Amino acid sequence: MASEEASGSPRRSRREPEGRAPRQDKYSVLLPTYNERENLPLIVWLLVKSFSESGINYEIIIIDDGSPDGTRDVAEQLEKIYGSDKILLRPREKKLGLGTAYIHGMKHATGNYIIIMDADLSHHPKFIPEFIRKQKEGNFDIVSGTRYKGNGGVYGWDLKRKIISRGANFLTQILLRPGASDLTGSFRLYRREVLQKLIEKCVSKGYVFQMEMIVRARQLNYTIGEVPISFVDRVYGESKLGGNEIVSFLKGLLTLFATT
Amino acid sequence: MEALGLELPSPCREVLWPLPAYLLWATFHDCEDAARELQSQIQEARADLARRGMRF
Repeated sequence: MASEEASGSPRRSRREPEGRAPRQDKYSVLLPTYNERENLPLIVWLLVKSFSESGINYEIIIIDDGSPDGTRDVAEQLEKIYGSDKILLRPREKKLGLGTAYIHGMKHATGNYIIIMDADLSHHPKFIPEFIRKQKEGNFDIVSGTRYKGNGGVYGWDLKRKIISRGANFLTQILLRPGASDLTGSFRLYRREVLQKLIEKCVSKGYVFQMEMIVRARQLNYTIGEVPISFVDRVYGESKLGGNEIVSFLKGLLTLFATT
Repeated sequence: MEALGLELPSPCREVLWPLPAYLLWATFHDCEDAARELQSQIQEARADLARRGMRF
């Protein structure tokens, strides 16, 4: 994780990275992908639409983990269509963790804000201007999309899954008292230096990682704003909630409870 | 290997009793509009991208 700052300054400070006009905000979207050949063009199209319509300065960083389904080919076409200043391809050889995907993506990001989201169309880019508005309104370090507040919600889950999800979130609230209503969500806006700091500190995997980020953020006294979002279950591809996942979620939760 | 037999204190009971209320909520709170809007945007996206040279 070599710093690109000029030598001479021994400590990290909140300096603006090179290559961006001072005081102009830029938003870098990190999109880790694995086998998203169908969804990737669509999510990018929606991102471009949302940003362009709102006049927001942005870039989209696609971190593909060597998908065997041709995701990379589709990413290259998108780069040609929208330009390599807007679509940055930063792939990896094989499937590695989400945390390392964010670290990898951030090395190439020139934005002062980072947006993380899923590439499978469950998160709709139309909420991003709302995240940005919310962040400015409260000067928040983090803005988190929530499915459990206001008119946030989920489409495409059966009752069983909704109950499990709600139950898990409720349990999390009781044990961790995190000050955010949706802990396992992964549709968030971070100040760049905040995400950097949190990633260094977090050790969990999968969605426990997302939970740990919020818990650590609270410990470090970062401020968190929330925006209700609608979450639409996968239009294409397979869903991944099984008994194993539930067990590992519970283990992760209890670990966080014990160690934070 | 640590078992799930780790003791869950009274929070466990607190989770269970509001479940019927959640059941009611979960039944009604569906984001149908969001799903419909997404579907129509997908059609629009595919058409626009094809025009710009995307080979799906």
